[in-house]
Amino acid sequence: MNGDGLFDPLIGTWRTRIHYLTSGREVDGDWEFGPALDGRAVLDVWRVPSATVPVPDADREVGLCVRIWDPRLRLWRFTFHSTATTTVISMYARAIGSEIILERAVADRIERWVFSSILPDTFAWRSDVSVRGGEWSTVQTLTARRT
Amino acid sequence: MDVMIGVADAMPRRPGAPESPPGTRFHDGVAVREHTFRIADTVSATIGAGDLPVVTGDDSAILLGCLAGAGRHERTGLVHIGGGADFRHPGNHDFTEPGAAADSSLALATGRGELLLTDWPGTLVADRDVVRVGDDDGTPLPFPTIGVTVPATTARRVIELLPDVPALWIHVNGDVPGVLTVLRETGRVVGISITTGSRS
Repeated sequence: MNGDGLFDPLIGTWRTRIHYLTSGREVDGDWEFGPALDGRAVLDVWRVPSATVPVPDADREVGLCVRIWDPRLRLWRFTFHSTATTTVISMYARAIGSEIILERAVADRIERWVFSSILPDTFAWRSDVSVRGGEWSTVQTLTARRT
Repeated sequence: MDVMIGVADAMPRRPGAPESPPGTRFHDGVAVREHTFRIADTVSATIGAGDLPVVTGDDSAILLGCLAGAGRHERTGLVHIGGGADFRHPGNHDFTEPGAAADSSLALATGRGELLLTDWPGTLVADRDVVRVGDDDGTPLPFPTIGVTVPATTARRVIELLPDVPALWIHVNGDVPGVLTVLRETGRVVGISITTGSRS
C-alpha cells in the first residue's frame, strides 16, 4: 500500500496509445509503474514512442513521474521530469469519484491529468485544460493495456 | 461555553514579493491546506464537546478549516459578515500573478478554484446555504447579499434566507455590532470565526 493506495492499481507495465487532439497525431508508447521508497512512493516512466518503435534517441520522450503521498496535505504530490524538454511539472492529486485527478494551476489556466475507467488490464487517461475559469477542454487522450 | 481558538500565528507570512509553490497560484496555498486540517480538527472537537468555537485570526483563509470542522457534524450554512467578499476565482479574476488564499476564501469554501484548496472530505458549504452581510463591493455573488441597517432586522433577514440549514457558521471579517447577538439567539450557531481584516 502506498499512501492511500491511490495509484496501486496502475503498478505494472502498460502499452499505451496516445492521441494529441490539437495536432491529430497518434502514437504508441509505454508506461511502467512501480512502488518505490519502501512503499512511500510510486515511480513511473513514460516513454513515447514505444521502445519498440525505431526512432533516434532525440525523438523519444522518456519522462520520470514521482508520486508521493503527503499525509499533512492529504494529497499526492506529483512531479514529471521530462528528458526531452527538461521541463518539470508539479501537480497535486486526489481521487474524485471514480477518477484520479492530478491538477496544477499556472498563470490563467488550470490543467488536469485524469485517470479514468481503471480496470485490471486497461485504463484511460486524458489531459484537460480550463482557461480563465472556462469550460474544460480535452487536449490529449490515452488508452492503456497491460502487457 | 465559548471556546476561543487563536490561529493568528497559524497562517504563513511571506514578507516581500511572494512566490507560489509549484502547481498553485496561491503563495500560501500549501500552508493553508495543511492548517485547514489542523483548524478543522480543533473546531470539530470543540463542537463535539458541546462548546462553541470562536476562532480568531488575521487571515480570512481560516474560514476553510472552520467550515471543514463544523461540517463533520452536520450540514452547515455560512453567514459571511463584513469586510470584502473574498470571492476571487478563475471565472472573475486574473490569476496570472500569485495571490493570497484569503482573497479567495469564500470562493474556495463554495468549491470554486484549484483542487489544492477546494477538494476536501465533503463539501464545505453549498451556495444555497450562504448569506453575505455587508456592503456590496461590486463582486457578483451567487448567493444573497444584504446590507446592515438595524442589526436585529439584518439578523432576521439572514434567518429568513437560511430557513432549513440545521447549523450556522458565522464568519466576521471586521465588526458589525449587534448582528451576532441576535443570530446566536436562534440557537443554531455552531461556531464563529473573526478576522481583523488586516490581511483581507
